[in-house]
Amino acid sequence: MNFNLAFGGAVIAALLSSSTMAAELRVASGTSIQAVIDQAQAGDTILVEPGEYKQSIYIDKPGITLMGLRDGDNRPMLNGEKKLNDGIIASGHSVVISGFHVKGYKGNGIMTQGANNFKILDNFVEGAFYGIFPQFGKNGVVQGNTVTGCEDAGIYVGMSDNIDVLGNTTFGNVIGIEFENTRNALMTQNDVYDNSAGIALTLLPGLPVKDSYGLVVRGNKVIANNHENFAPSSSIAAGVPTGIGILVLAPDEVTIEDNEISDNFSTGALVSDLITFGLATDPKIDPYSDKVRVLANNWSRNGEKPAGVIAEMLAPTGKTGLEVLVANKGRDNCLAQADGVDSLGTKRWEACTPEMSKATMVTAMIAGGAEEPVYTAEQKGRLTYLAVCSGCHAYDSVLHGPSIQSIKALYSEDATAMMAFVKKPVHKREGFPEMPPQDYLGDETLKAITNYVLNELGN
Amino acid sequence: MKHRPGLTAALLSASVLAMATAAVAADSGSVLSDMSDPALLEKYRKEATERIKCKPIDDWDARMEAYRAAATSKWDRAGMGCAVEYGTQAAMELSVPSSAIWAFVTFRVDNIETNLEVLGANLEYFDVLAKSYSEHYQGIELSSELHVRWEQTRQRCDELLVRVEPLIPDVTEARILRAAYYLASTVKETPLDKQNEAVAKATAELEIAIKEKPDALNGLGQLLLGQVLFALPEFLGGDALRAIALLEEAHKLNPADMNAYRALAEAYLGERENDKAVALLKEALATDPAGVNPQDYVDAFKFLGGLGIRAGLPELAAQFADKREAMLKEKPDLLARKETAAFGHGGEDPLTGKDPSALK
Ligand code: HEC
Repeated sequence: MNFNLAFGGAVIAALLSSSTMAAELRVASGTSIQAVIDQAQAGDTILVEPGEYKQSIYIDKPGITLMGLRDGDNRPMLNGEKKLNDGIIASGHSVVISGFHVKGYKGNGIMTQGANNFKILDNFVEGAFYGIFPQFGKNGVVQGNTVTGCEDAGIYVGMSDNIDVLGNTTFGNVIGIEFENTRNALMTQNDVYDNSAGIALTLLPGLPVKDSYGLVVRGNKVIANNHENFAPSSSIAAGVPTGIGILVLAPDEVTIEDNEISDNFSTGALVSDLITFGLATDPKIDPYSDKVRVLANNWSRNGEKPAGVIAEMLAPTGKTGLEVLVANKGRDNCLAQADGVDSLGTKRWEACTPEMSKATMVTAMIAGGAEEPVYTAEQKGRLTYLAVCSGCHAYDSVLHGPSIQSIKALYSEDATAMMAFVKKPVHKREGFPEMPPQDYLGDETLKAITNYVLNELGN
Repeated sequence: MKHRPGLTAALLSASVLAMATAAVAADSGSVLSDMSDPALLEKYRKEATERIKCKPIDDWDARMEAYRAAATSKWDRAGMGCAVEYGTQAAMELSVPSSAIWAFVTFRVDNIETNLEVLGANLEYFDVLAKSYSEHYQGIELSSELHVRWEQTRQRCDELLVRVEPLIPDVTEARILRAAYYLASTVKETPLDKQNEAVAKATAELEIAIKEKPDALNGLGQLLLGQVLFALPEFLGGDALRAIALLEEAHKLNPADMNAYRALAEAYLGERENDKAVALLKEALATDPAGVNPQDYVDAFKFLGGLGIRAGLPELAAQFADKREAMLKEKPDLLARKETAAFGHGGEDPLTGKDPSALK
């Protein structure tokens, strides 16, 4: 009987702990969201009332659902007032971020960093550099969001695997939606209009992930992406040509199918290698796109008024009105032959065959989800430095703040003092803006960052 | 010319759509748009101009000596910058005859050579600068310095070229160097239409030069033209097969040239000629470092090792790494070129802590 009793106790304990794990917490309008997150347990749901929140938020516990409560059109607004760097940064696995209006941040609107099994749903993000930016994530979904005004990509999936980007609306960004150095991802049912370039699938040099493949772009509306490129001239996005529906820059195994692609002035789709963009600087990266499959799409009125660099490129050829423009030496690419699909540079391309269709693909996510490794302090330090601090600090130069080299010189003997500054900065340097306080990151993470900066970075 | 400048042509890529674009003012309040404020840029450029000023040297011999002392110190952006400045000043004082025949008659062939040599050193300096830009995003302090240095180098070359130009019909070397200037000076800090113009002008000149005198400057003409033809899309005159033939010729004419190895190995891989690429990489691995600028050696070995990884041969990459590390150890002043992050891009892999360009 003892045995049975013990068993019963375990069941009760499990029930108790599962009920404490699934608590629902509430943030009263305008109060500190971070304070509630700090009290929350893994698995909790945090409901945020409508109102204005001039805050940056950091979530590194697993299983947190952060949900904005709506009251008609009214939803909680995170406002960085062009002073704070990031809206929401999350590195906890299985995080859900939904229902927020995010605006006025200097860096990222909503970013996940190293979070697996994430969900970013139904947010409205204005401005910032990157709007919604999952990086180093496995198995996640970005769905039902609206993103506008970003100087780089509105929705920017970087170095991630098995990601779905579904039913979002992006307009007025330099790039509407981008997959960068990402593997196995599906982009579907999105409304992408009035960006400088609608959709970009890129493989950039110099990053830890050296390949990109298995990308499906299906059933999106990619319309009139002719916005002037307003990226600052020093940024990578400044090189993105205006008037492009879909840009494919070096990934392999790309399927473009059943999209409505119309009124993009320069060309419907540009498939280019990195050499053409002057980006073939990473010897480990194969700069060519192989196995790009441009299947049946609904094309109309593309390429009618080529702009900027595409105009330059096409001038000697005298061509306009191109659906597909190719400057890429890759292999095994194909284009569905159809009336009214004009292309240039497709001499080596073949005709696609019906079995290449991805019409039945439902998700790029893994059944059962991705593993959820617990990050070490070292990993956390590097991840958060990359997500947050590198938005304003560079190693060997002033960026927004002073160089890391000069910071190391100041604090090499005093990590505690550095942490104290980062939590509550005081204005020191003439001609520099003020650094926003980073106390929301919490002591443990700040300690990891400080340790990384002083003992690892640049050594 | 006894010594041809070992131009780093690997970066003279004919980027049709490269990153340079006309600046459009952004006002989203992002950090990057803050940093592109014209007044702020002006301030940083002014500071950079002051900071990088070289100590004046008045005496001709002393200038020439200072030039020779550091004109190939590619690991020292500041030192080499001053050296090429002194060399340019010295060269500008030499009278250059207006034709090659006249030069022989008046015994001023040496003056022509000095002018061309110093021009070559300035072109190499473009490459040193180009390699100083970070892969993704620049901080404003560094980008301002590089901008100022770039414009100064451009100006020095323009001054030297005015003197060299009359010789071009007679001296193929001068023609090649002018073409190299078009390419090297437009890699950065140049609007796209000017870049395209430069590529077109250089291509035309190089076509003439390689017919005129195929072995001029040990095949530099073929090396540059080969790279341009490989980079251009077919419908704009690109021709991968002819590019490879030209690069093979360049390699034969100058077997110690690290840039020929880079360009040719890259082209072989691009054409899926992996066997040829691997054979070439193995040949490069055996290069005697004594005949190569040590910074070029370690840079090229990093690149070639990376190609080895791409070709599926990690053991070969490791051999490049070993030789490179030995050289870095022997000459601690050399730059290892480890990228660090800005704006969420670059730096080591945050999960493993590993440098993404590491060869093993
Ligand atoms: C929104 C931009 C921004 C972000 C993000 C940012 N900083 Fe700063 N940082 C600055 C600026 C601006 C200064 C200069 C402030 C001054 O001197 O008044 C600065 C200064 C510093 C200093 C110098 C302190 C001193 O005593 O001089 C340290 C240390 C520092 N930052 C660390 C960090 C760390 C660590 C992070 C990431 C957690 C970070 N910063 C994130 C903008 C930023």
